[in-house]
Parts: sequence; C-alpha cells; structure tokens
Amino acid sequence: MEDSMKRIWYASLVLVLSLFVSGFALADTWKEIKADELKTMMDTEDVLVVFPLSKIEFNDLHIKGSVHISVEDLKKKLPSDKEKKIVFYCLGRK
Amino acid sequence: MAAELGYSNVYGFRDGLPGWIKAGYETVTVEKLPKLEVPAITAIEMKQMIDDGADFVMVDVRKGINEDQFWIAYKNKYVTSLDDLQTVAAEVPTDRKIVIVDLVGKRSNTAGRYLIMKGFSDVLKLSGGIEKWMKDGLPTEYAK
Repeated sequence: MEDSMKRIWYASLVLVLSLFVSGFALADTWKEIKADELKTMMDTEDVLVVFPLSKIEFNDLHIKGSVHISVEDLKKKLPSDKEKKIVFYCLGRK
Repeated sequence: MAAELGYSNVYGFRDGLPGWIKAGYETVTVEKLPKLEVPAITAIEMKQMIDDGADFVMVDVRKGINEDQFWIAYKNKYVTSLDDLQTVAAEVPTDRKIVIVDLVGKRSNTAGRYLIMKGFSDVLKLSGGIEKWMKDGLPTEYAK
C-alpha cells in the first residue's frame, strides 16, 4: 500500500471513530435502540440524548429534547453520574 | 476510553435523524440551513484553478480531525471546524469565490449550505474531498 493511501486509510478510520463511534466507546458495551424505544425512553425515563456532531447540524435539525455536545467536549460535559442513561445519535446510517 | 470514563448505560440510536423523522416523532430547528446541493468541482478542476491563479478562498473544514496530518498547500486558505465557520463568514467578503475541502466530500455540503445561508453567492465543494485529491496523485503536504 502506498504511503499516501495508508495515510488516507488511517485518517478515515480516525474520522469514523471520532465522529460516529466515540460516543459509543464511552462504555464497554452499548446497545442499539430503535426510534420507538428511544421515544418511550424519553417519555418515561431520565435519559440524556446527545448529538455529537457540529452545532450547525444540530441547529438545522435535532430530536426534540436532545442536547448538543461535540465529540471533543464529551469528556468534560457528560454528567459525572456514570450510571446515567445516555443515548447518542447522529445523521443516520450512511 | 471506555475504562477511563466507565459509563454503564450507553445506547446508540444508529438510525439517527432519518429514522426519527420516519417514525413521525418531533424535531426542532433553531437555524435552518437551505435545502440545496452545493455545486461540486473535481480535484483536477481545483488543481487547474490553482495553476491558473484563480482568485478563490479555500476553506478546509477538517480542523480537529486530521488537518495537521496532510493538506493542500494554498496561499489563501482558512482551516476551520464546522462549528467555527462563522469566523470565515465574518472575515471573508460574501462575493468571494469559496471552495470547501473536507476529508471525503460529505460534510462540505453542510459547510456550503451554511455559507450560502450567510450570504455567500459563489460556493463550491471539492468532490470526494482531500481523499480524492490524494487518490488522483495531486500535490499534498504531509506532516513530518
């Protein structure tokens, strides 16, 4: 593999990990949920729903009741309660 | 990171906004971006623009991702994140030609929609991002 291709591959991996998976990487295990489950959860439980992409994208459209915490701010802005129920979402499957 | 932060109740709603909308649930808009596809130029076309001395501002929106690992050398360039685009909007006259560069050509459309909303009239995005530029073998600077 050429050096430039290796760099692209590595950069793409970093991007994917940082933008779409880092939220999930906050825990050893995470569970995938569907829209109906999330709605029920938001209606009946104390849950933090987080959009980790840009503020521009969040302002354009977001789930009512969700909050924006950018990837780089996750460590300092997530609640100190490690048992807090947290749901991450973004722009969907690509 | 998992061991370091140790959250025990983490969920992923991978269907994301499209899945939420499809299910008919409520969304909120604070500042609506225009619904449009930003015109694209190919890497070869942008290289030609540079070689021809075309007057444009390059906006690389990879700040905080990998902008310091490899980049396109250009005299008139802003390196920013999507969240800091307002700086570009405040400093660059809205009649200047803008070409947006990202990694793979996906998030540049969002950046372009934002700048068009802010009054820029001549906005282009690099098709395929810097990844395509590099695959085409065009000149790229690398961190040592």
